[in-house]
Amino acid sequence: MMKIAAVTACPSGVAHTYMAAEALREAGRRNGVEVVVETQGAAGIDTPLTEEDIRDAVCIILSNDVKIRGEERFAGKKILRMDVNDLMEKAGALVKKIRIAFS
Amino acid sequence: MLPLLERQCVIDELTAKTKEDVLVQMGIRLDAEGYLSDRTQFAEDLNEREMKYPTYIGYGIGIPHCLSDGVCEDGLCIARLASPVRWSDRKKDSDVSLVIMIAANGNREEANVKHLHLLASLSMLLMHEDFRESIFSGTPDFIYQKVTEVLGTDSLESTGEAEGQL
Repeated sequence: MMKIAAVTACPSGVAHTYMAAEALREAGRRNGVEVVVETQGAAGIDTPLTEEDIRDAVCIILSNDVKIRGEERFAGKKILRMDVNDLMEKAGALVKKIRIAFS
Repeated sequence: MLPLLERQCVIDELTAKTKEDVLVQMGIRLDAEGYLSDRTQFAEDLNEREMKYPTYIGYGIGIPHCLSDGVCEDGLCIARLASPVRWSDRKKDSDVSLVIMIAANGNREEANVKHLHLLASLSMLLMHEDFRESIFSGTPDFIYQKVTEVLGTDSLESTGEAEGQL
C-alpha cells in the first residue's frame, strides 16, 4: 500500500493540529493509502513518525502555520506544505492527487 | 476538579443574532459552572484566536478555543443554535449552527496533558461524519452522554517523551 507521512501543528495546538491529522488519516482510509501523521500540539508530540515511515513515504505533508520541529528528518524527500485549515478541507483531494501522481 | 463537560454546558436552542453574542453567552455558562477565573481575559483570548483565523471547520460547525489564563478548569461548552450565525467574515458560506467551545488553561507548565489529549480526541472525531450527525440530531442528554463517553478514552498514544523513553 502506498504510504504518505505528515506532520501537523497549529498556533494554539489544541484543536486544528488534531483535526487536520485525522482528516488526512480519514482521507487515507477512503482512498486506500496508508497515511501516518505526527501531531505537534500543546499536548506534545504524539504518534511520532518512525524512520521507516519517512523512508517508505512517497512524500511528506507538512502544515505551515507554525514551525515544524525536526524538519531535517525529511531531507531529500518530496515535501508538500499547506495550512491546517486547507489540510482539513482538502485532505481528500490532496491524498487522491498524491495517489495518482505517485502510482 | 471539574469534569471536562458538565450537563449544564450542553445548551440546546441557544438564541443569538451574532457570533459575538454566541461567544459571550457560552462564556457566561462556562463561568457559571466554575470553569473560568477571569471571564474577560477568556473572552479576549478567544477573540484573539478568532481574529487570527475564524474557527469555522465546515459542516456548520464552529469550534472557538484558546489556551487562556482566564481558565481555571479545562472544559467544554456545546451549543446548538436556534438559528445559524455567520462565523467567518472571510468566507461567505460559514453559517454555524453547532458550536463547540474549548476552554483550556493557559498555564502550560501545569497544563494537563491528559486533558489536552482528550480534547484532541474530540477534535479528531469531528472529522467523522457519523459522529457529527449524531451530535446534530441527538437530544442534549444524548450529546452529553456521547461526548462524555468520548472524553473517557484517550485515543492518542503517548510518546513517552516526557519520561525520556525515546
